[in-house]
Amino acid sequence: MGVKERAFRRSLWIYHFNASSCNACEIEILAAISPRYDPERLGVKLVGSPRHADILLVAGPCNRVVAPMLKKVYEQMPEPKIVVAVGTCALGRGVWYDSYAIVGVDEVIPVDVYVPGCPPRPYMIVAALAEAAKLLEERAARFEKR
Amino acid sequence: MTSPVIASIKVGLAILAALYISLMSLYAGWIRRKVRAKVHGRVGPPWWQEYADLAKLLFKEDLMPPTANYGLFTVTPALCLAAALTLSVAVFPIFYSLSDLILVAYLLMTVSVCLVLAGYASNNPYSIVGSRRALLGLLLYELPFVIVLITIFMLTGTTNIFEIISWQIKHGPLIMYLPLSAAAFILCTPIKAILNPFSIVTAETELMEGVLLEYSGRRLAVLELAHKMEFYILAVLFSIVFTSWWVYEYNLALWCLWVIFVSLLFILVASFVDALTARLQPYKASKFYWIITTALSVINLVAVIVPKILGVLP
Ligand code: SF4
Repeated sequence: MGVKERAFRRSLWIYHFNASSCNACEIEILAAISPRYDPERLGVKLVGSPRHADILLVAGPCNRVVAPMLKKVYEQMPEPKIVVAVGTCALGRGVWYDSYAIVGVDEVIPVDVYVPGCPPRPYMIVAALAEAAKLLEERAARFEKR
Repeated sequence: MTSPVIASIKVGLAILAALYISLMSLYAGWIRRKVRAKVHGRVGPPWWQEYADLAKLLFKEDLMPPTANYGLFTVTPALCLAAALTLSVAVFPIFYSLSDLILVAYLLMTVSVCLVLAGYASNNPYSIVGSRRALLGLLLYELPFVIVLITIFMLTGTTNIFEIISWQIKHGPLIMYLPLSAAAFILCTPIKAILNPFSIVTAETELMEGVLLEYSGRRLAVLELAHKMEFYILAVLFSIVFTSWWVYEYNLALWCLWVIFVSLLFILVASFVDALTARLQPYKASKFYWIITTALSVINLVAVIVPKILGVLP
């Protein structure tokens, strides 16, 4: 394992996007980065700009208004990047599965890791971040800068 | 003095100093995060976290926002790092003509101005607000900082760091003559290094990193490194100018250890204050700087000038 993969594995900067979620998932994400779980041990840091991020945490079913924004935020992130969809809504649209207003996260952007639950438990989010770190490492190994 | 051997030793020392500051500034960044984690009752990141972050940023894709000004967007990070590297050579008394407080003040300002320009170059509303705040910060701390330098010059008759140290060996410690100036210097650090309670420039929560918002990859890495180096250099400058006179005459190796020790102590205290306080509103920060810090530095300037005129001080 080279320096590059190791660096990507141990430095995860997260951008958190609210795609019309009900806010319960947001609260659980905040609980996941609270002192009890302390993902900063693993190098996780919440950043305020998608340009800095490695991981996009999306919560919510993503309605038609939010979809273009979600796409834009995804495109603003530099490669290599991972998308983690948090919650049943982001997984399969949840209770809004047949709503006319909902697009679905995975129809707008490619999702790498799904976290089930409504809302998911914080430790599941931390586990998803660990999974995302593994994927990011693999993707970094394949990634060549232009 | 100018034999090639001594010259090459000095160049080696200069490279060592630049390397030391750039590596140590990341370590100082880790101290800051670790102290914050301890205050929260967390474990905190491992000691190599900041190095991993920097390496990762270097390997990431470098995006160029379509709205940004291409020239400035590319030049400012390089200029910022160049200024920080020159600064790290200048604070250590290696080259006689380079280690000068006026040069140090200008280079510190160059780093800050580059950050301001970086914000304007990215042309994002948030980073423009961040740039405006950074300019406000410049207005706030440059006045007391320059007054502190003028006071040191008035007292010692020189701005050279060598001469200031030898003046202290002859006449006693600077901190005894200039306690309020030293306090003003310390108070200038948090706003220069963007620490709480004066972290109004890159207020993470309301400006989303402010000036650095649009930067990614290599450029972000360079800007972050230059910014962290500025913080560590301030600590080193304080320890060299105000505290290191007594070991300098004694032993040079011990002097290096002392500078490392005091600068890390400085960083530790600043990190504690950073972790324990909340961010002030910009106008409250301005009030604090314009009233308290400037007053401290001016009082000490007057307290130096009057005895000088009366002929009491050397
Ligand atoms: S998964 Fe449940 S908690 Fe999360 S956004 Fe959807 S409805 Fe809310």
